[in-house]
Amino acid sequence: MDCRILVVDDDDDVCFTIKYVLERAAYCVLVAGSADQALRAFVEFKPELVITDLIMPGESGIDLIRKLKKVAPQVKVVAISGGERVTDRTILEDALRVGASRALQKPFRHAELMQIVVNLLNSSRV
Amino acid sequence: MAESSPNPSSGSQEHLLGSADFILSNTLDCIAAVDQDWRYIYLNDRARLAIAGGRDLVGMNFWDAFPGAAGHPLGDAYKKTMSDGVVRELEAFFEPLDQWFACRVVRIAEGVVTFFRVTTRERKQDSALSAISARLQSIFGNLDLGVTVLDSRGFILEANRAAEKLLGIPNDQLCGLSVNSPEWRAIDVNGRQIAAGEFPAMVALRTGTVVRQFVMGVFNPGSGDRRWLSVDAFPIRTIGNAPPSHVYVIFSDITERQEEENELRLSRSFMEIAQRVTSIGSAAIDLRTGKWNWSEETCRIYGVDPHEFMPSAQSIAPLIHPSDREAVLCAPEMAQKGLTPPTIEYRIRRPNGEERLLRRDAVLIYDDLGQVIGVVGAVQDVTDIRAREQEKELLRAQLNHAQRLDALGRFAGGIAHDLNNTLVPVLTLSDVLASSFSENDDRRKLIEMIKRAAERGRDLVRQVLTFTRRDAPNRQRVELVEFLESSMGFIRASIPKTVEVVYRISRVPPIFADPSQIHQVLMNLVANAAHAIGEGRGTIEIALAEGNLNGAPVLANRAASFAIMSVIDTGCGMDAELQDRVFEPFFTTKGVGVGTGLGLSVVHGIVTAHGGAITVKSAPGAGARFDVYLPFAER
Repeated sequence: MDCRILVVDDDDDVCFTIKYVLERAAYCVLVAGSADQALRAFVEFKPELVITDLIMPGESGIDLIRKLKKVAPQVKVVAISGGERVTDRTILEDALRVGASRALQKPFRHAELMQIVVNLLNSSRV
Repeated sequence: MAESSPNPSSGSQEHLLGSADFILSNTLDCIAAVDQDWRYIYLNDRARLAIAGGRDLVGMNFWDAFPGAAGHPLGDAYKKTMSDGVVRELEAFFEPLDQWFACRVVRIAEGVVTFFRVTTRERKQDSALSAISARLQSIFGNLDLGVTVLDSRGFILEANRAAEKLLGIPNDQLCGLSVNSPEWRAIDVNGRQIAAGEFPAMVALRTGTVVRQFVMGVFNPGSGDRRWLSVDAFPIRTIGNAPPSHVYVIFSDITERQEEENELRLSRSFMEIAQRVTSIGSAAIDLRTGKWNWSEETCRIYGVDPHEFMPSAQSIAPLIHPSDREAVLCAPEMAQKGLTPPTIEYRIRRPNGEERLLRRDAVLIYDDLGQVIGVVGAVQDVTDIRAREQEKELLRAQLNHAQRLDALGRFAGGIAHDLNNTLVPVLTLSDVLASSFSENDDRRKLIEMIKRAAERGRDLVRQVLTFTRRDAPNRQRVELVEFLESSMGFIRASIPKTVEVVYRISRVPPIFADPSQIHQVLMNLVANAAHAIGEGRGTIEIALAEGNLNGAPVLANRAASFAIMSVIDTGCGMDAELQDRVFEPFFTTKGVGVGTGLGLSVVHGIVTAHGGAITVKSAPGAGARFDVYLPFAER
């Protein structure tokens, strides 16, 4: 299949889990521990899909999505989050507003993740 | 001494004396006659008594009988008349006889005859009168009191020096002035011009009665300022009941006293104003007389009329709450013992039935010798202050409570985030792992168990997040009657059969809410009620009604009317401390593994996020009642 997916999360276990299940499905996966790392990797790796956590030390996932969408508007983004900001809107809603294609609340089932990834990549192919 | 022309001598003396003997003996005058050789030739009875102690002096030489007459005006008058025949009249004191004599000396052919009277008594009376008059004149002149005498028309006839000085008008100008003169610019104590007819002199003249201590301010042109006079006016009647013919006006300068009184009055009125502004009255008790004195403000505070109410222990006792009476009324007794009555707050009931809370601070008053002579209290109506303090205290408590919940919410939110991350590998990889074993493999069953545990953990975290979330992602108009009807099946299924469920539902306007969250609220409250009832029998009542926020937290939405959804159980109930903490997250009375301690805090979070409020009423053993206030959707 050889689809490139960049996974961004400050939690190593989360990165490992997503990388594991996606590689099992024959995707090419690169992980980054922060938004900063992700931006640098993005230039080299040129992924078709970015799966990013939202609440991270340093730059947030929301900032990352904004920047990615600026340099590569066609890139698909899946926002994942384990928490919600104490505001009127959920942070996942914020992510959708700044350009994420889908939002997924942690923890998620294997099937939920795979369905989203497959659907997004298929639609980009079509 | 009066003199007249010589008397022509009449006929014979025998004839004269003989024919007039009867007259001469009975006249009121004394009569004595001497011949040219100064021998007495006649004395009537009165003359004998007056100058000779009743002896007959006929034949005696005048100068021998009265040697003191030589060189005396009387003797001189005799001599002169004897020689020139001029009639002389004189009055003189004759020391040898110690008497005054008024004499008329007349020349006759035979010699000289004297008609005289003893005037000693009259003389003494006159001199006493003139002495009195002189003394009075001196007093009148030197008196510090102003004195004027006015005639019946109000014209000043006489004025003393003090009057001159007090009125500032010289005597010569003062006499002749009338009360109608424009010189008088007189005012009364209230500053009003006094009409001429109202001057004390005129009042005394008109009414015939004495006017006393009439206070008037008179402009004094001499000093250029106003002097305050206290005036008495005494009408004088010369005959019986006739209208007064004169009036004496006596006045003194009381300017200093009057100004002190004015000042006192002013300072008293300032004091009353200050008391009114601060709503602090004063109450004094004079221990020497036992007299109570209340300021107008104190009367106002007690709701009594300051012009009618006579403060005393007896009169104020019924106004004070029976349980506070002793504390208030023991003040004079304590003061007598030299103890300062303590500051107290006490309840009163005004005559109109209104209840107020008062505060009294007291101080003792001492005389120069250090003896306690009185006690003065400052009385303040603190009803509103205390009510405001109470409300503030309530708000502070509610704010504290809200802040505590908020802090706990943030804390819970942080943990939820980390737990969700932690659960990602567990949930996702257990799926992957399970699929690598066959359906019958025991290991697959173990993995499924891990998965279910992870799912329970995830649900728990979702609950925590609901608690931290302030938004209402899916709000809509909710008809609570339909909502409750659709929930009945769930409710019945979720609680033991031994618990009866009763509905008491009134139709209310729709609310604007997230139905799933309201469902969560209801189910949580029902679960909580069922738990409070426990194993035995009991009843859960679910009620819906429209009502106001009577008694509900003041921080909540201030809408006039709310939908009130109530869950009432017959369970074990809670004490006050428990009720206080029941909405805190992680606070639970349930055993480990039975409750999360989040149910009611989630309920609280949801209700608050909906602009509503929740209250609890309970007592140990008496069940519990939760009232959820939800604002109506805009109509």
